[in-house]
Amino acid sequence: MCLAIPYQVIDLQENDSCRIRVGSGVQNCFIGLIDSVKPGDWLVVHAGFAVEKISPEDARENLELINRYIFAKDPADKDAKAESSE
Amino acid sequence: MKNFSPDIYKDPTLVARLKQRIAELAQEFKEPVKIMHICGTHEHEMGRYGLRDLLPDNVEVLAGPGCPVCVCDTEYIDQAIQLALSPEVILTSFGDMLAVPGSIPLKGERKGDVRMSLLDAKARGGDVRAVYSVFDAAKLAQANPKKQVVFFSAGFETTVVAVAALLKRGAPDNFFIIEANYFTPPATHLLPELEGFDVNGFLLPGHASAITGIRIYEHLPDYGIACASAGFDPVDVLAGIASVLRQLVENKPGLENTYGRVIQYDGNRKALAELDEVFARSSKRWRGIADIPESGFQLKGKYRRYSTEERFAEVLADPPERSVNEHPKGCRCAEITLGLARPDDCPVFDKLCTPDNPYGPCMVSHEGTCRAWYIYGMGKERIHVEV
Amino acid sequence: MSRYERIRMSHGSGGKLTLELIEDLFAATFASAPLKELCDAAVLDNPGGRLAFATDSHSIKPLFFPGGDIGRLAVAGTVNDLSVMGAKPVYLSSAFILEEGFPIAELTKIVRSMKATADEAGIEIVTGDTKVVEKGKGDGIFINTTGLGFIPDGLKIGPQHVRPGDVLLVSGSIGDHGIAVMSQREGFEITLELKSDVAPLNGLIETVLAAAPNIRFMRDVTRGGLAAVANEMVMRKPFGVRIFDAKVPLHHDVVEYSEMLGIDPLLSANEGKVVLAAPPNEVEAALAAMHSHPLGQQAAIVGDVVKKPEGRAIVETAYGSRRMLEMPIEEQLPRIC
Ligand code: SF4
Repeated sequence: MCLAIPYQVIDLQENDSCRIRVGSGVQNCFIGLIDSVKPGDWLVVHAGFAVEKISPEDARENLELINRYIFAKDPADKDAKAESSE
Repeated sequence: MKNFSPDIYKDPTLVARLKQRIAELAQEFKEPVKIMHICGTHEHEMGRYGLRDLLPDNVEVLAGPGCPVCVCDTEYIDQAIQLALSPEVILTSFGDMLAVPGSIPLKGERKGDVRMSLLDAKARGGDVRAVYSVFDAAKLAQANPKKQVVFFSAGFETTVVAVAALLKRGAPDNFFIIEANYFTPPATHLLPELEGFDVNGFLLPGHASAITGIRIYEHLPDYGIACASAGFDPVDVLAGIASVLRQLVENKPGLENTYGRVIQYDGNRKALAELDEVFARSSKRWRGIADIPESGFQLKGKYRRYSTEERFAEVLADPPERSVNEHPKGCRCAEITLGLARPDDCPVFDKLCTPDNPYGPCMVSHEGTCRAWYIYGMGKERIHVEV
Repeated sequence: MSRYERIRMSHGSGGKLTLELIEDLFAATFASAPLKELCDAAVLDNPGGRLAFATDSHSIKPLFFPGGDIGRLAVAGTVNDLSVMGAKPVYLSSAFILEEGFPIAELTKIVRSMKATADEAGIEIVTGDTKVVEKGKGDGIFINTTGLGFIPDGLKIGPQHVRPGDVLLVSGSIGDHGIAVMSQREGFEITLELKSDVAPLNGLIETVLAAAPNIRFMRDVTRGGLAAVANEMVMRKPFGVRIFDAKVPLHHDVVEYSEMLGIDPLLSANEGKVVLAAPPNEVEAALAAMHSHPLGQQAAIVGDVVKKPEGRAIVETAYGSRRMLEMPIEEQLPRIC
């Protein structure tokens, strides 16, 4: 139901907002619902506000899950693990 | 964060491998497997990337009640139209809602049980404007202090948290909202109890779950339904489908988060706290479906002053003539939204009802099932190309 | 004319102020011989052969946008309509509907831009008209242009000549104009690298036709984008068209903003791109010709004409999946879901 896309933070602005990079342009984004946003962070943005922040660990785990759990017959499969850390 | 690249979730190689994995898993089933998503964006992205075309014949993905435009009660649409037509009001709305017919009959223009939409109100002189966010609507109120700016606050939990955050921080005095926000989980809980509901898996919404978390869906596997919360890029959607299939193959229907980079198990607590401060849960009418307890958001306490129902009580006490049927005669949107029928079961699909002349709401929204089927050609048959 | 800063009703009355506006601005700027004579009709030479005749009215908000303005749009639009029929555009008329109070400085800028675009296209603006409507009854300025062009013998261009196996090419990136203009909408106003591609295409098209004279179909991409052109080409025909979406050239701003606003870049407008269907043996020549022209640097093969599905345009994705490509139905609006 809700179109939201990851964008990277350029810098912080007043009133609980920040600037994000969209293509060659810059957009404002409300970050009142997210804790401790820093430049360089990735935010998932829906209709002008950040719904969540993507942490590096979560992103890595997410991809590992997709690679490992989905592809390998056995979640603990060693080969699969090696593959996901490529 | 150097090592995060959003593009990986659109990677054709990963998609190809997932496609193969899904095909392998699907071979384990003799019966067709039905997976329901409850998020219109899933419908739209599946259409745009042609993802159903990558699935084996025995895996069907159908759309559940995940389109806020399709389930929005006619009362709110009619209210928006009525307010748009009063000269003091600038009516702002997400683009999606503009063409949705409510229940005020539109006489004489076209054949059939045709109803007015906000676009019709605009054509009759109403000041109706599409906005990208609630913040833009509030800015418009600031810039037009002599007008009353009404924001048609449609959408699910994802969209409503921004409204809560805005009102909590203070909105202009001439800014009001139509409280048409819905909460998905109670509707989801209703589905497995429906007669004729024979779905094997759920693809849980991605960004709505980013707000609420997925704990609230924990009991769904008790019905034997395998659940995966999924993102929206091709890799995400297919990963969600693969997860559901795998749970079914192993006969262990559970609740898996395949969109962990965005969804936390308990959701976004800060957003939930602000939501709780500004809105209360209330019973809401899902268009053509039912009144579902706790399935909507209503302004509470001191925030009620932003409600159009308070500010425009007098105007709204005198509503225009409305049709008694929620959906236009013959429209099967309600059943389609519940996964109990398909667009091609509707006799007027692609005949009386097309995107340029929508008869029912499911043909309006970009994520309405009828529209998605129409524009992306997702009938029962695959597209065959002969060169 | 310099006595006033803004358009008055009498600028359209046919009297003294009208004459001043025509002489001092239109005739002086457009500087064509027939216009200078201020007759009721332009009298033109006829080189013989078949004529192409096209008209188009223009309104746009904002009037000035990155990469162009309504004046450039009005000239290029009609030039392109003539060119895609294989015609060599020669003459143009321009009729203005001005809103009372419209700043004459802006009008002057627009008229100069029309002249510059006409020069770029090598055509003459030979006749015109001006009307003024009361304040509040117009959107500042509307411009209608009508054009005449001559078609060289032997060209056979049109959907009826298209055959399965023909190859679809575009002259460059798709959706530029639509997104560039949308970036300037009220409440949006962002600065992007992306500019509208509005440009007269007759030079590019002449180059292509010289290299590939058997082009079967040409259409300039306008509102409705590539999706509209593809659908128009195959509508009610015994063949279809397949677009490989990964091969369609897109500016990265078009990609990003389409994504953000939830719209399909294939449906977003251009004002300076041509789509053409070439027979297989002329594909390379056509592509090379486009690449040799400044407006065709990013030209690419984007699809082919197929026997089935008949009458439909489809997209084949980077994943090998297929979907229909809709005939656009409405203005593209940002969506939430
Ligand atoms: S096609 Fe869909 S939207 Fe249209 S009338 Fe039928 S069920 Fe309703």
